[in-house]
Amino acid sequence: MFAERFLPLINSFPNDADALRRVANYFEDLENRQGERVFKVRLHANRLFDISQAGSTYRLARLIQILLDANLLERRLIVRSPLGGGVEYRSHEAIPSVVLDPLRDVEMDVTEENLEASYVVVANGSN
Amino acid sequence: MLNHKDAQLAQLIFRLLKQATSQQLVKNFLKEKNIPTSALNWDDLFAKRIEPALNESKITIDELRSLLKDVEEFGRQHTFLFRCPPETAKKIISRVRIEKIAEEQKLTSLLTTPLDLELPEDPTLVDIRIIQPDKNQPPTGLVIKMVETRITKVLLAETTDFDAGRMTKTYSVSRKRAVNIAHLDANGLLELRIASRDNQSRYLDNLKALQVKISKFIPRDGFAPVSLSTAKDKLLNNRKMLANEIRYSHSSARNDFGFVMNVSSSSQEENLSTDDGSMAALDSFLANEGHVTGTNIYVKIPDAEPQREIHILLSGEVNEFAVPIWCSSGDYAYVRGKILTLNQ
Repeated sequence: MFAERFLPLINSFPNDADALRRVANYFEDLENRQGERVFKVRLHANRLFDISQAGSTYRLARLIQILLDANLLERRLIVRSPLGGGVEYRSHEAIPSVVLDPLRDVEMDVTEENLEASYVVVANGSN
Repeated sequence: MLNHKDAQLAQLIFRLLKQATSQQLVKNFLKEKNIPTSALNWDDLFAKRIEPALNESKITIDELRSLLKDVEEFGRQHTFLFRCPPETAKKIISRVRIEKIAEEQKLTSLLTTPLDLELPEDPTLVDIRIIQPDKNQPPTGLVIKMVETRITKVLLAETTDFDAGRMTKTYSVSRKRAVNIAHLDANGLLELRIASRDNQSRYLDNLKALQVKISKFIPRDGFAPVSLSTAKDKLLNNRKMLANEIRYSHSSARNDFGFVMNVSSSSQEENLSTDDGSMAALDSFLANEGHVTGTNIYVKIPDAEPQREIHILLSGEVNEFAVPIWCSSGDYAYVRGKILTLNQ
């Protein structure tokens, strides 16, 4: 179970244990319903805020950093097309200033308006 | 008869009213005072109706300022909601505390008389109001107003010089007054209302600037963002129950695997919830790990004659909603209450 990988973290980070437990419960429930598809999860920071009930953006940032450091989640950057889809990058450095929007076949400027972070599950420590 | 200083002040408040609202709203205010309202245009309204009424003491500068306060503080804003325990809020808004900080910050005058600023060089606090309807009871709220100057640009021309291999775009730029409001209620709800930007949809920098500016009065620590996810989901899931109160124009949803779904009505006048196909698709999406991330609705104001609706955007940050048109304080309070009720 993916959720079991949270147990050491819950013990190691007592200040964030409640939020970590909620995230673990979310993944456990999802895995019970969706099985292996849990490894396809991709969450926006807003959704992680709701799942973890982190309470503040500072605590959410700290929680996300714990999950990134533990190699449970990995950050991906999406340049979002107005049509809904997007082009994915693994780091800010890799993002050009202009990208081709494949849904519309037009070039679009990358701005803070259309750039968003999402968090994907790291299956078996690598993704 | 107004003295020279008050006459100048009246002109300034009038200019701010002109930027912030419609002629009709100012005419409604004049009608309530039994002042004739016919006028060819804005300037005519001032010269023929407002200025004489001020000179004859039919209206006062304070009433004009109060009108400005009502019209520029509600609508055309993105609201960010936060909450702290009621005990904390009551301590923060205590009159003794606020007056002491105002004195330390050399802002005591703002507690009694707002600063009438049109286009300040830097973001400036112009009004601090302790809401205390009953002087024998503790305050029920605190309102702080910050005014800033923003630059807006409009594309005028685009020229191409093939020899030089260059394209040049020419914009006209103008300065625009923006009003941002912080309102902390004794019940712990903090609203930070940021004036809408003309060509930008993210407001985190503006939000941070307001938070920093008011931090001596309302500290950042201890306030948690109020996630509006429950309201967004309920708006869709309870749409049949809400049919007489809310019209839907656009909804976006995302599932926990990153898939995105957007559904829109055929026009802003149509109601998305009357289209069974769109709704069935959205319901199916939401039933499989999907969540509403944004919704664009029109809230019907009850008992309004003629009937009117207030347009609301629920998207962006978890605690953000926007009212993209000017509205009255009463209408704003109604839609905010509606969202908070749905969020429970």
